[in-house]
Amino acid sequence: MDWGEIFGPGALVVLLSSSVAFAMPTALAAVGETVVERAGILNLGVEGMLLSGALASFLVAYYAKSVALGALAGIAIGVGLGALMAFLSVTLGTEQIINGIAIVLLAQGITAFTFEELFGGEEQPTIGGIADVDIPLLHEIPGVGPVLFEQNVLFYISVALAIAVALLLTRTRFGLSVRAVGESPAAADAAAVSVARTRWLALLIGGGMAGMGGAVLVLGQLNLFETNVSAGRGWIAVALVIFGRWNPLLVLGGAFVFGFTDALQIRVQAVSGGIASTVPTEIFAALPYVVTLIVMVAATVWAGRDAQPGALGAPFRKGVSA
Amino acid sequence: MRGITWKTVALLLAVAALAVTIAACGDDDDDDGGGGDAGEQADAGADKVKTAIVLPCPTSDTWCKQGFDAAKKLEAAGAIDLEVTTNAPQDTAGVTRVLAQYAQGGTELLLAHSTYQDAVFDVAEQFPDVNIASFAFELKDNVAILEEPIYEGAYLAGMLAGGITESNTIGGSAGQDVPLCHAELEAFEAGAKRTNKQVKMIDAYIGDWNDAAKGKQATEAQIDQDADVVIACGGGPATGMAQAIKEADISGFGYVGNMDSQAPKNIVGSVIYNLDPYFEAAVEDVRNGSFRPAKRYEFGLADGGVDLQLNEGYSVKEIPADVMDQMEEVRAQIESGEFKVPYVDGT
Amino acid sequence: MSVSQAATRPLWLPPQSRRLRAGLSSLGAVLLSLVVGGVLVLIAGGEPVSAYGALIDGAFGSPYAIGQMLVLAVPLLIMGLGLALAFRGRVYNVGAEGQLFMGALAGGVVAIFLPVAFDPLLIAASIFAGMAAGAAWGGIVGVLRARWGVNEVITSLLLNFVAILIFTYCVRRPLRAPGSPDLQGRSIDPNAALPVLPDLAVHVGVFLAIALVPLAAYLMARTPFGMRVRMLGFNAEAARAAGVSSRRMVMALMLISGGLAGLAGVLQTLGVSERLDLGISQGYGFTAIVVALLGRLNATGVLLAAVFIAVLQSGGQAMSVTEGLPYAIVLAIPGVFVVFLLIADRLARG
Repeated sequence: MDWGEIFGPGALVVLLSSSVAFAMPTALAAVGETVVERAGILNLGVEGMLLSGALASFLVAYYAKSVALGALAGIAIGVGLGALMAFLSVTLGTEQIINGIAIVLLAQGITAFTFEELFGGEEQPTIGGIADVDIPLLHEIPGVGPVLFEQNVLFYISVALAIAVALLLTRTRFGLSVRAVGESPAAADAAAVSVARTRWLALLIGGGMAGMGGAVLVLGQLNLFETNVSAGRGWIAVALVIFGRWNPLLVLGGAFVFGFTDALQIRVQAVSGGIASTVPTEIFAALPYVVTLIVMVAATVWAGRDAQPGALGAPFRKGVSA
Repeated sequence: MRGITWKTVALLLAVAALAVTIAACGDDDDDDGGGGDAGEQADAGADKVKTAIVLPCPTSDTWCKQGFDAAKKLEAAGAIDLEVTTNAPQDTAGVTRVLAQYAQGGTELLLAHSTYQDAVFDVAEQFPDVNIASFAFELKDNVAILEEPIYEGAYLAGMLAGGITESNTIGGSAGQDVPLCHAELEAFEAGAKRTNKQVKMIDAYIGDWNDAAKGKQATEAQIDQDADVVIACGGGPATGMAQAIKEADISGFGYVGNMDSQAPKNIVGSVIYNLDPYFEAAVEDVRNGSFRPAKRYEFGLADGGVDLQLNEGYSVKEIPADVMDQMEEVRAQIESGEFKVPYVDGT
Repeated sequence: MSVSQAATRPLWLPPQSRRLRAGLSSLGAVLLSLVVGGVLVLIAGGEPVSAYGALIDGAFGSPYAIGQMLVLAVPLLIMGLGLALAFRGRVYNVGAEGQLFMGALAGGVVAIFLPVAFDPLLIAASIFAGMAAGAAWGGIVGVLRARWGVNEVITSLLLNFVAILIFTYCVRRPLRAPGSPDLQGRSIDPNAALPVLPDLAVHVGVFLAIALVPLAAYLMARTPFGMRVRMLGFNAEAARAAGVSSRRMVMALMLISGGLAGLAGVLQTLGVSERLDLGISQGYGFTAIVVALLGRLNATGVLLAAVFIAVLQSGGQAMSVTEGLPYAIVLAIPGVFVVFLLIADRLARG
């Protein structure tokens, strides 16, 4: 096999371009989840929010023939499920892990049901795709240009959104409240920061981002919906938050590393001839998970485990000490 | 760390029990009415075979649509009474429960439209009266096997691909490297080599039957390696492939069902797996009492079970006339039994 | 605590009526869930009352129906017990799905190849191998957490994917069923198949699962080990001060919960599929998390929760057939019930 066909200058650009585009749904959801976890909530419902966002955006784009409205619908349903998660986990203070899994079950059932009710017996419905837009000048930069600046509009919006949310968390007053609430809700409460309000907002943002991730998957890549189209990306997003040590920019980077290994394994198969190769395909398929594991273990061993928000997963009730 | 108290659950079960009682009363009325209906129906079509089809996906998926359409056709023709389950569970225990419920309800013929080997055998043993046709690989007195000679159609598709390709590179992507897909891709390659000696085939196995995004990515990777005609195996890989060829404006072949609508200009044709003859034969056998001992149903290209359906709207390239003629010639040879497409399943 | 209780107690309830409150709120939860589920049934063109009747009938209506419900409850119960114990010690193992598949693989290999003609011995060896493999797979997570403090949620989650890929490779290549066109592994030695009860058609693993309930209850409540787990869960610092080795405990909890998930995998292989097959589980390891938490992390609770979820799913599967409703409804209904039950339970406790 010729590695130059994978890592040669021209090939590498194509590989990177493919990885960032396909990693985007996971990246959006992961950055949103970072905010949620920094606020002290472990939201395992990401997969459900992503899936619901995918269906909602597909349906609106299909019937209203508008990609923009579709994307908004994806965000809206994500925010809605974020609100459900917040109601259960913050307002009622029920067990977060179970809330998240319940949301996944709910979403898997309802999306499959809705899709089947609407399109049962028909051919696979599709929507028109959106064209790639080359950003003038920037896309001519060798290397980086084609990777980052020859993508579709949703891609640019997603990058902007992800960075905005990262900045929101690290550079704003609200972000400070989020971190305070996640680290020590009692102390934050004493400092007149509303724990409930902050966590609610964090979950609405996290849900919206996951919903947007679903919209990007459907509107930006597939132009169609299938049962369980999210295919586990929400679970990967949860893993990536921890992998990125709750730092939104690292999480974003981690999502692209994951996307890169994923794209790499497919590329290696394409170059090595696939059918002729004797290496089991499962080894390639396991690569993204194994790489993520190794990097994460290495990072934890190297840095210690201080990164986890102090109150992650613990419900907070005013006046009750933990 | 709190959950539900056992009292809550106990209460719940009590309420549920109450609900049953109420529902049971309601049920009695329904049963009377329902019984009457069934009786009338029986009068109307005494030899309709009571049939159910259990599909692992929604009917928008080409694999499930082929099964669904074939069963619906028999229903419309008045040959069967049909019940349908879509999105059926994938776990053995779950699908066993669904199949068993049909068997228990007096279904005569169960079309278990996936590789439900274990569930099918369980139900066949538990309910000896039911007849099952499935993509099993072991026979049983009341379990028939539906064969999938899809590779025959893929060979013809490959012949066209060899004529169409300009880069002399073709691609195939599949959910898993299993015999069904392996044979399809090998036949595609063999067909292409027949019309174009220089052809090089690249393949990818994405490790997932349903992930369309990954399927699209796999096809795009092949396009980057200069592939300009592609095929896929599996629902996710195929829908993903259709989107990829539409965007890159290259050529591809549909898998199992007609995929023209998913990429109207780019689909050269679809390798069709037509279940009509399979289901017709199974229904006929049940009606005649000749279903048992159950057999392997195999209808290839010669018997209308497999086909290559060309897309009128295909407009990416001109298909060379001589290649088209060659393909039709081989099609005729396969149909007459003169030529047998090599089956290479990689095991 | 008393302050907050007074503050959050619904005003329309007298203070001393916890039991009544619990009753009313779970009644409300059940009714609401029934209503939401009923609306889905109506949308799908069904009839809610007869649909629920069919659901209960599908779970309890005949010995075979009960047996099928139990077949589903067995893995949920076994894994749920292990997870309940681990969660008590705040070890969040979300990798039961992968541990189940590793257990199934190891147990299955023994059941395929070990040349032992004596059934009980072969079955015992297979179970032992499966539990060991599940424990080992969970042990990786344990070592990483105990030795270097690596978060177990992510490692166990990622190892699920890896385990399923390993299993897939094995059934696709070296252990593939001869003649299968798809992903199916070899059949086990018929001697290793678990005996099946007449009428119920459930494998005898159900007795093992039930026997584990009092065992787990005893372990959790009556042993020094259970005490240490509780201490660790209540306050890790204090537990350490009292001489509880958190590393050793984390290791033990991962081994036990992994081993039980492995056991569930072996029983699925020997009792349900009788071959190496991916169909032995479809996310059971995740459902078991719901079972453990819904069961309030105690053994009896887990038993009830496992049966409850199994009734909803198995009964629902039958219901979708008898009522001609889309199966997707059945996927959604447990989610609806769980959400409303959580709310009710919360309200009940004030």
